[in-house]
Amino acid sequence: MSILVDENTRLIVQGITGREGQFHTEQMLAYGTNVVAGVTPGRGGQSVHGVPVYNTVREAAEQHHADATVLFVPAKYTFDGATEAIDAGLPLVITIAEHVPVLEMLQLYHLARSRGVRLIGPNSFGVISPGKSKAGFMAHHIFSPGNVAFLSRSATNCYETVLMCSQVGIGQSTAVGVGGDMIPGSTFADLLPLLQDDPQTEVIVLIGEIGGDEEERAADCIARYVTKPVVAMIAGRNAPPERTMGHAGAIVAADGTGSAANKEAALQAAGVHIAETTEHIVEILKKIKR
Amino acid sequence: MLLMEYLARDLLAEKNIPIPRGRVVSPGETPDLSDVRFPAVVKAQVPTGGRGKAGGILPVMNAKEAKAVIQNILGMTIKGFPVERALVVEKINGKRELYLAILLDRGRKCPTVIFSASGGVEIEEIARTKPDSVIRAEIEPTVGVREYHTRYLLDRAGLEETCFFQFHEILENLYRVFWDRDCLLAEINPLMIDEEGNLIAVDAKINVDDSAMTIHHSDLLELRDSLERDERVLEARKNKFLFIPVAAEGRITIMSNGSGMLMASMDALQQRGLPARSVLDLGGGATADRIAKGIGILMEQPGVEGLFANIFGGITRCDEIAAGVKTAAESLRDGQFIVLRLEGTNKPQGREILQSVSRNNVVLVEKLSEAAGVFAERMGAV
Repeated sequence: MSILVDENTRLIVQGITGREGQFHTEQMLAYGTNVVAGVTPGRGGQSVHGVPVYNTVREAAEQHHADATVLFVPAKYTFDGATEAIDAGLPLVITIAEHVPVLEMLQLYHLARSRGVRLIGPNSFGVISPGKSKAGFMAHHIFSPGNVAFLSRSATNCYETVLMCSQVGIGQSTAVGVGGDMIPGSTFADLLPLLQDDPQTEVIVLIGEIGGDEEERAADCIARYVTKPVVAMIAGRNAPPERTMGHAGAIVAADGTGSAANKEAALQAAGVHIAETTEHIVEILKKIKR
Repeated sequence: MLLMEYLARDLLAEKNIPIPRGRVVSPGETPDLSDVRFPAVVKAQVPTGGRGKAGGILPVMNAKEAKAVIQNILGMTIKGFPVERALVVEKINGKRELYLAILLDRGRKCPTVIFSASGGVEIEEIARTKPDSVIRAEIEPTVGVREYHTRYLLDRAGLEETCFFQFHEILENLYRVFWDRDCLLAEINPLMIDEEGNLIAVDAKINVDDSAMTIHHSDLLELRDSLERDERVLEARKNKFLFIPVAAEGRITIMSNGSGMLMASMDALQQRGLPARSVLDLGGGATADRIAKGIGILMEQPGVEGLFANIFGGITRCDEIAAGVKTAAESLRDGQFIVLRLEGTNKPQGREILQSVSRNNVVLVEKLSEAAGVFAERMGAV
């Protein structure tokens, strides 16, 4: 098992003819991902690394029975690309661009839910189930198959931890780039139940950040539903405080929501192991494994 | 970007929300106050709160007095921000000050109205001491503002329904500002009920989503750059980097290819008592020449001795980073050094390039903790 993507995933790459789209299609194919089709409007009939290109997502999905898509398109086109994919009925839509307008993500978040679509990202490295498949741009050589799942708001902190894990023989079941934006398509709390139910996953690592309340919501979900051990790290305890939200921000965050201390306290109360650094995550995993 | 009052009120006026009549004055300008009604108030325009307590808001009785006060205020510095504009507005005599804001609620994933019948400068204190007086209403983004929102807010606040239609129109229009201008926050405080019982937005604070601004609001984007006074921020923006000043002074600066690792790097150094003066986020996919420029921006800060470059390349390639570091290392001042942690895509190619750095000012490390150790040793911390 594993979650979201595996050897059976039939993936579309939107924006396949662009610079990053081409490069990472090659990388994904080399890793064994079943990339069945690509989409670039106006480029239908071409091919990229042997993958046929279509003008529309619907046509690509129908011709190849695709069940997932990853968007290698700039932030400016993410809203259009994602709505097209949702409309075409793909059950898994992975967006990776940085700087997607927040209110566009807000609409995508609700649209995906109303259509029963799982939306991942944006500002995400994608999803990888090591040894099986990857949909995204993560440096895959650092990953190795195993039983620890990763959900991360930060790509770089996730790579860092995964590399150290692989070096000491701790492999991964699936790593999901939840993404660093204010409104992620899927939150920690959306994905935790999938990992609890995944037989391959034995331990779950959450890499969070200051801001928002996704970690607090994750703590609530863990307390109610997750019995597997969870390790969490919150980056940013020394980051300069956000001062741009006016009185309303202060009123909403009056209970401390959003700070590293608040998140750690909530997670700790739910029985989560708190790590202070990425290296500390690995030490805790070693102890759990023993 | 947080818009100062004089810009925020323009966005309100765009959507027909009533604001006091007024005029913006810049230094060296001979202010034409012919359409300002007196008594009036002169307000310093600075991107920070607390300007009233700092003496940046003063009442004036006539145009002559106003001109003197404007000169005075334009010479002030408030919390480190020189006052570059003054706003002269008619004084609104109010019966009551309300608070009305629409905020993006990240947790509930919707815009949320925050309303209180006790507005004004003490709103945060009121929210703490009398939380029941602050009322929240979520707005379903596919539906928008409906009359039931207004009924609920006014009813809970115990306000007589005489201003119902006016209030509803302002709420609808504020939501239009919020939505059409991609706001994270659109706040009116105070929303005044004047002596005739009319509502008027006396002060406003608006925060626009920077990502949306880049794509949808070129007018605001130009404004953002014209208002920025930190040359390093502007220089970084030109290269598509994000430069964040953290402290007024310090010997260490940090660069990384993502905000998560940037924060983790700051935390790791801070644990050893080594605070960062500034940080720079390269984002994804930076090339060698841009990286060298980024390092230049950081190392030219007076007093900075060491740079921690913590790179884990996915879409960013290590050979590009190495080539950028090599170029930048040539022009460091004596005594300056770079601690480089390089991992990820094309790492071997990157390490090879670093072999040929001629000066002895680049230290390669493998781990975050090792980097913190190097800084601790060189800077004499714990």
